[in-house]
Amino acid sequence: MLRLFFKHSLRYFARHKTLTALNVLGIALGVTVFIAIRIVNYSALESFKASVDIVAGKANLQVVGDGLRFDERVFRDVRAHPEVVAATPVVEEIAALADYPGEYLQIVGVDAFTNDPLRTYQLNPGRPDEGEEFDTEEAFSFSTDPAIIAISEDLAERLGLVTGENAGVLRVQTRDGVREFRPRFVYQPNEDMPGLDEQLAFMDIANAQVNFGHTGRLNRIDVLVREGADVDAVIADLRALPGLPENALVQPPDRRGSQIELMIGAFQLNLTALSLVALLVGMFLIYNTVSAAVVRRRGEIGLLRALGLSRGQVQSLFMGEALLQGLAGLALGLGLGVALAGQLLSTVSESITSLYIRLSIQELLISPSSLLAAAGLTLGAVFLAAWFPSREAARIPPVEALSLGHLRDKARHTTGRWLALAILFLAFCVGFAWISQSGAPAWLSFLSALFCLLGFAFLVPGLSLLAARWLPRPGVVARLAATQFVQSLHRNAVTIAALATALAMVVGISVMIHSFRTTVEAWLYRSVQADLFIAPAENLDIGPTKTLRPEILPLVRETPGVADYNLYRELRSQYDGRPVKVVAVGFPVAAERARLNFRETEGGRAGRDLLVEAAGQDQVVVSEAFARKFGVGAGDTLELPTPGGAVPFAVRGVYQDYSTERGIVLMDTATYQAHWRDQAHNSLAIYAEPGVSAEELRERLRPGVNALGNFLLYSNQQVRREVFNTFDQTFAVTYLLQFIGLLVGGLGIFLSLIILIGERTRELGVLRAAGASRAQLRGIVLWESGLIALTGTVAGMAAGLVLAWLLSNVINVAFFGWTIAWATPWLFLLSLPLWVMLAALASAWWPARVAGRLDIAAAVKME
Amino acid sequence: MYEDSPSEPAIRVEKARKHYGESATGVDALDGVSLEVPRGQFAAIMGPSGCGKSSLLHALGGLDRLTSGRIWLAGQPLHELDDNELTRLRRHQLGFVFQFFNLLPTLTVAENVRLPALLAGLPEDEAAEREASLLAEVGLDHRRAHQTHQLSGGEMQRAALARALMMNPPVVLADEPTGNLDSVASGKVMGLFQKLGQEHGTTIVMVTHSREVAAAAERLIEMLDGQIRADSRQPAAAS
Repeated sequence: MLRLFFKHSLRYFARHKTLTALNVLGIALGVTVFIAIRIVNYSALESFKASVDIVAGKANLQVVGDGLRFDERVFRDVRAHPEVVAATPVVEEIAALADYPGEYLQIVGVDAFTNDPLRTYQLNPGRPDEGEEFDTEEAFSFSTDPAIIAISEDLAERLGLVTGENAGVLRVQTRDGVREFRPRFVYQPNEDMPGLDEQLAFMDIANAQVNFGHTGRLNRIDVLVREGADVDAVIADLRALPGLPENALVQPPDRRGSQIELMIGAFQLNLTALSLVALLVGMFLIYNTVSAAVVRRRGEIGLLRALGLSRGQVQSLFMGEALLQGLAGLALGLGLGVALAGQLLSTVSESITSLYIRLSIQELLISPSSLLAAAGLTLGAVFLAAWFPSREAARIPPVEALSLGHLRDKARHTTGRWLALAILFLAFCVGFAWISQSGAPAWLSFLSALFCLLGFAFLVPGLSLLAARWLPRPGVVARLAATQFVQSLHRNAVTIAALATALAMVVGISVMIHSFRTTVEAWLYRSVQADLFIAPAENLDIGPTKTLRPEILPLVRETPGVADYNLYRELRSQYDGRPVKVVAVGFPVAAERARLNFRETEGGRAGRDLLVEAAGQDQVVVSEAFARKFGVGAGDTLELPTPGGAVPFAVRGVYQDYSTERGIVLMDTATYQAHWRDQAHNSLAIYAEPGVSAEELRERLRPGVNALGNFLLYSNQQVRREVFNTFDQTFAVTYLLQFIGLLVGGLGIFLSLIILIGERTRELGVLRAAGASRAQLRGIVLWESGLIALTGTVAGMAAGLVLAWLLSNVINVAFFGWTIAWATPWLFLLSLPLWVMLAALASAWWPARVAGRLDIAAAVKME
Repeated sequence: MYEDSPSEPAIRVEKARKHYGESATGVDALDGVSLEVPRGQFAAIMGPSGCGKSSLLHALGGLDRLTSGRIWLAGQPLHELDDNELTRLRRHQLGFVFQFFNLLPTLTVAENVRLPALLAGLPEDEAAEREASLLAEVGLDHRRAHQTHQLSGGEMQRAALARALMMNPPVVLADEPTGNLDSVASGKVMGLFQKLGQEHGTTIVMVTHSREVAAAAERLIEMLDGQIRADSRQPAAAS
C-alpha cells in the first residue's frame, strides 16, 4: 500500500510540476542559508582547533606568557620537574610576505632536539610531486640555516612556491626589514587535521628568535606530564617557578580552543539565528501549499475515504507528500548551501579576524552534526507546517468531500482567535526581552525576537481585514480584488505573514545596522581625534600584533609641526578566565586631546579630570562591553594578572567603545609600563599644530619613518574608512541572508497567487463570461497582489521596527554589551514599500497572465 | 443591439467543426453543424452526454473557438473577432446561465446581478436601477442584500438569470440551467425564461438533456455525435 501511495504522490507531483518545483525551491532556500552558515561556523572553529592541535602537539600542559614573551631560562626548570616527561620551548611570530600583499605566515619556532616526543607533524624534503627523497643531512639544515623554513603543502601549491632542494626565495617582513627565507621543507600532519591553517610555518626556534628579534624569549613551553601524575600539583609547581612571570598561564592546550569557541560563539549564534528566519518563511510556504493541495484534492480525499482509507491514513498521505518535498528541498538546499558556504568563507573569516582573532579558513568542513541538524530542522519544520492542513484533510467527512461545490475551502474568519494568539506571543516577546536583560542566558533574547515575529504574523488576518475594508476601491477591478482578497484570507494571510516575516528581518537588521553605523560613526569622530597615525604595515592585515621601533619616537618629537603625540599599546590578557584586552595610552594626552565618551564615572566626575588623576596610578577605565560582561562599574576594583603578580586596579569610569566586544581595560602608559615591564608600542597617534595639515606632516615624517622599516602613516580619515570597511564586511553576510529571506517571501506571493488562480478558475471563467476582459482579470490579480504587498509591508515594517529595537537594545546588549543609539534610515524605510510593491507586482505578473489566458469554456464547466 | 438588418437571424452557424485532441486520434465534438436561430426564439438543444451540445453553446458564446466553420451572433462574425472584440460581444450581446449558477460567493445577490454592468463600465446608479428592476422581475428583490450561499438552488438560478439579462443582451445562452434543480424549481426557472424571453425579445438557446425541460422551448434541436439529427418547432409548453 505504501508503494502505491508513493507512486500516487509522485504522479501528483509530476502533474503539478511548477507548484512542486517552487515548493522544493522554497524549502531549499531556507536550508541553503542555514547549512551554509553552519558549515562556515564549523569550518572556522575546526580550522582554529586544528592549528592549536598541531602547534600544541601531544602536550597536555602549556606554559604561556599572558600576551607577552617570557625569559627562556625558565625552560630548564620546567623540563627538570620530576613529573614532566617531555617539554619543548616555542616562539611564535606572525610575519607578512613582502611579495604577496595580504598574505602572511604564522611562524612557529620549534626546538628539534626536544620536541620529538611532542611533535604531531613530519618534515618532508619537498612537495610529493617534486619527488625528492628524505635526506637526514639535509634535514639537519633545518636547525643550522637561519633562512630555512617549513611551509604547508597547500600554501606552496596556492602561491606556486618551489620547495625542496631547489626552493625559491620567500621574502618575509620582519621588524628590521625584509628577510629572505627558503621553503626547503614542507610539513605534513601525522594524522588528518581537516581545516588546518595553511599559513602555519615551522622554523628552528633559535633561528626564529634571531630573525624576529626575540633572542632569549619564549611564547610558550609545551609540556608532556607523566601519565597518572597529579596534574593540578604539577600546574601549581610550575606556576611557582622563579623566573616565570606571575601572569603566566599554566593550562591544558584545549583551553585555548574553548576560549576561542566562547569568544566567537556569540557572532556565530547571531548568524545561525538569522539563518533560521529563512526557514521560518519557508514554513509558511509549506503550510500554504499543503492546505491548497487539500482544497484541490477534496474529491480525491472523499473517494479514498469512501474506499476505506482511515483518517490517519489520509493525514499520512498528505504528510508523506510534504515530507517528500521536504527531502527534495533538503537535498537541493544542501548542495546550494555548500556552494554558498564556499562564497561566504572568506568574508566570515575576515570578519572573525577583524572582530576577534586572526583566522584563515581555506577549507570547507562539513560536519555530520551540521547535516543532521539541517535535516532535522528542515523535516521538523515541514512536519510542523504540514501537520495542521493535513489534519484538516483527514477530518473532512467523505460525503462532504465527494459532493460538488466544495472545491473551495471555507474561509474561516477566526481573526479573534489569531488576535488573541498575537497578543499572547507579543507578551512572550516582552517577557523574554525583560528576562534576558535580567541576567538570564543571552540566547533567551532570541526567543523575544522569535515571539515578536510570530506575534506580528498572527496579527496579519486582522490587519488584512482592516486593509480590505478601509482601503479605497476605485472601480470594479479593485472591488473584486478586495472581495477576493478577503474571501481567500485563509490563503492570503499565510502569504502575508511569510512576506511580513521576511520584511521584518530586512527592516530589523537594516535599522539596527544603520543605528549601529551611526553610533560607531559618532564614536569614531569623538575618539579618533589625532591627525596622523604610525603603525607597522603588517598590523593592517594581522591586527595590532607588531610593535614600533623605538627610534620612531624621537623622530616624531623632533619633527616640526607635531603638537603632541600619544602611544598605543594593546595586549591580549584574561580576566575572570575570559579573554580581554589591556590597552595603554597616555592619559594626560588623552584627557587633553581625545574625547572619550563616558557612560559612567566615579562620583559623576568629568571624564577629562578623571583621566588626569588616573595617570600613573593603579587606576583604570573600562569599556562598556567589559562593564556589562563582568558586572564591573565605576568605584569597583578589578584585579589583573601582571608579570609581577596580580595587581588591584580601581575602576574610575566606564567609557563607550565599539572596537571589540571582548572588553577593554584602559590604563595610562606609565601604569602599564610599571606593571608589565614592557616598553613596546603598537602605534602612535600624532596631533598636528594648528595650521599644519595631516598631509604636510605625513610628508615631513615619511622619509625618516620609511628608513626605519615598513611602517604606515595614515590619517584619521583613513582610520575611519578602515573601520567602516571592517564594519560593512562584518554585516555583508546579513545582507545576503536578508536577500534570501526576501526571495522566499517573493516566491511565497508567486506561489500563493498561482494556487489562488487554480482555486478560482471557475470564478475567473464566470467573470470572463460575464464580460470581464483579459486586462480586467489581470488587473484583479495584480490588485490583489498589491493588497498582499501593502498589508505585508505594513505588518513587516511594524514588526521590523520592533525587531530593530530588540536587536539594538536587547540582543546586542545581551551578547556584546554595546549600547546602540536609535537612528532611523528614513530613505530606506520610505523607499522599501515601493520596492516591495514592485517586487509583488513582478511576482504577480505571470499568475496574472495565466488568469488572463484562462480557457473560459473549460473554466465554467462542471467542477 | 443588433448591428445588421432585422432580417438577419440572431444566430447563424455554418459547418461548425470542433475537434479535440490529435487530428488522427481525437474526437469531433462538432461535426459540420449548420444552424440558424431567428431573433426572439427560445430554442433547446438536446442530446445525450458527449453529443456536442455544450461545445456548440461554448462556441456560440465565444468561450471557445471552432476548429473550422463560421458563426454569426447578433450579426457579428465570431470567427473573425479577436479576444477584445469577443469580450465586448459578451458584455453587450450575450448573457450566460450555467448549471451550477456560478454566482460569485464573494458578492451579494445584488452585486452579482450588477456585475456585468460594472465590468462594462456602466454608471453605478444606472446599474443599481436596472439590477433592482431585474431582481423584482425574478422575484428576488427581498434577497438582494443576501450572500449567495443563503439562497436555495432555484433562487440562485433566478439570480443568475437576472445577471444574464443585466445588459439587456439580444441573446442568452443557458447550459443545463435546471440540471441542479428539483422539478418545482426547474418549472419556475423555465417559466421565467419564457416570460423574460417574450418581454425582452431575447433569443434564448438552452442546452439540456431533459425532454421535459426542452418542452418549454419553441424549437427543439436534437444532437448526436456532433451532428444535428433532428430540428423541429414545438408548441411551447406552459411551465
